Amino acid sequence: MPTIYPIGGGKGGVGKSFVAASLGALMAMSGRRVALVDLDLGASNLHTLLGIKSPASGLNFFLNKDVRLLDRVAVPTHISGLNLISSCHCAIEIANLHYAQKIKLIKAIRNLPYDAVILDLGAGTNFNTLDFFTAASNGVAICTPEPTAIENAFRFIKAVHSRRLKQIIKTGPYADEVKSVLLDRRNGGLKYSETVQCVETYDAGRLPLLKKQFDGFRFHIVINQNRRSTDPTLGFKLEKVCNRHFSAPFQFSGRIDFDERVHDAVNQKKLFVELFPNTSAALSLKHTARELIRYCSPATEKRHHDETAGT
Amino acid sequence: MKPLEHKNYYEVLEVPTDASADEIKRAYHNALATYDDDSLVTYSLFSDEQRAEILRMIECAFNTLIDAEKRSQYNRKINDTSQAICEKTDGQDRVDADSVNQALNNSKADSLQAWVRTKSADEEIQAMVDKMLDEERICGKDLKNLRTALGVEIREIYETTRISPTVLTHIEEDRFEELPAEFYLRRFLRSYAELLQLEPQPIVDGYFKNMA
Repeated sequence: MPTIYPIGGGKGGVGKSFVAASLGALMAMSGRRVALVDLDLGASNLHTLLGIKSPASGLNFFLNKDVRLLDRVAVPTHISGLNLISSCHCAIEIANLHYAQKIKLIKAIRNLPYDAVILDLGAGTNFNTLDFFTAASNGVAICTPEPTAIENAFRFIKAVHSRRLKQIIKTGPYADEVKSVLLDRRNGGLKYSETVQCVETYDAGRLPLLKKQFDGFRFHIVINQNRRSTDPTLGFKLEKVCNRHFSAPFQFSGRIDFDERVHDAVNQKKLFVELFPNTSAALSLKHTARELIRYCSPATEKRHHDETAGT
Repeated sequence: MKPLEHKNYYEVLEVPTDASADEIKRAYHNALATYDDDSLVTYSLFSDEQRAEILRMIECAFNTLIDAEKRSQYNRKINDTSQAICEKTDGQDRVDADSVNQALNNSKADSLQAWVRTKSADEEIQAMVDKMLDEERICGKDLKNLRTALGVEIREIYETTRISPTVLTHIEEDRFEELPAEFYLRRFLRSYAELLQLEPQPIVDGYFKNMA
């Protein structure tokens, strides 16, 4: 079972694909077998960042059932150890993936024969994005130091939590009253505090289980495009505020410096970390990769999978 | 995690129960920086009412813990009930959302910036500032006069800006040979000016002109 790193964050243009590609390259360069999966369905461009014009294979072959094993549709990149599973040749309607296809895809991702699998997700909070994000035990939320990005990041976090709570309640051994109250469609989004209250009322014995299941997922906050004028403590403050008001584990895992030359690298269809390996932006990416590797492991992945089995 | 409204004052400010006055002040400033209306960290996280409620609790917590007498009373209350809750309905602590901002403005101990903001609306102060900005050169004494007129102490500037009191004194006494390198001096003057609600650039320029 690989360690899965979903890269999300709500707002478009904050650098999710850039960070995903860079982390993938850096992890592969340090000797890991890495698969990058482009799950920004309908707006994929991970292949372009990696300098691949038209990948020879991709997700479409797997979803069409032409190929049974997901790994078979991966294409190698110029970096040894780094493979790409692209979605650029998928049908135009791919953004609205069917439920069964999504479940099949998540299952296949969990069984990919790699050390690390990085999922590049789209912007927004649609169910597909949320379900891919929560397919792992850790999720990386990218955010830039701007109110627009912060606003969308908070929304994304709330959406992820609501989705997770619904999954936990739906598939867990909770009392029928709990299920009928919390899964009522009229209810809208779920909050942790409300869920706790409900479980406490109808099924108090399972409160520890709820807490354990809910805490099984860790958010990693990564600040991208950090400028010199950015409050250097912003990441820590966000970590604190999130832990205080969202009641699940949050961790500030890296601050990537802004660099004009990222634009140049993208235009050359080359990886920034390869072109400018000694810039502060590249070094901060390396640091972020190390931080993420330190906290995410196949063991946490397995535990998470067992606890949310059946979803 | 307990929701904020179930936390005791120490938990609200995130200080240990034996925190010193300085620690409490710092924690209070940090909390305001995090939960203030224009804070980036909590942008869009709360509704206006929620934010006002949080700020009210921070205010309550600070006013109680900074006052030795109120604090020891509160500590007794914690020990008695073994649950110290920032009570919403407690008549004495009750401050409604509107008065939060007023409290911010009224009491100097509460917030230096709010204090300076109120104070600088004063006509006398306004005249002083205008006169200073009319001059081409600005000397340390001008800054010092304005600072004392505002009732701000060097120590308080240090607490907010972390510019050492010695350097601040050198700036105010025009001891040019003792001043730090230009880069730092510019930043220090900038912070100093901002704290006193002055446009930073003219102050920096005027000071450097006087030095030349």
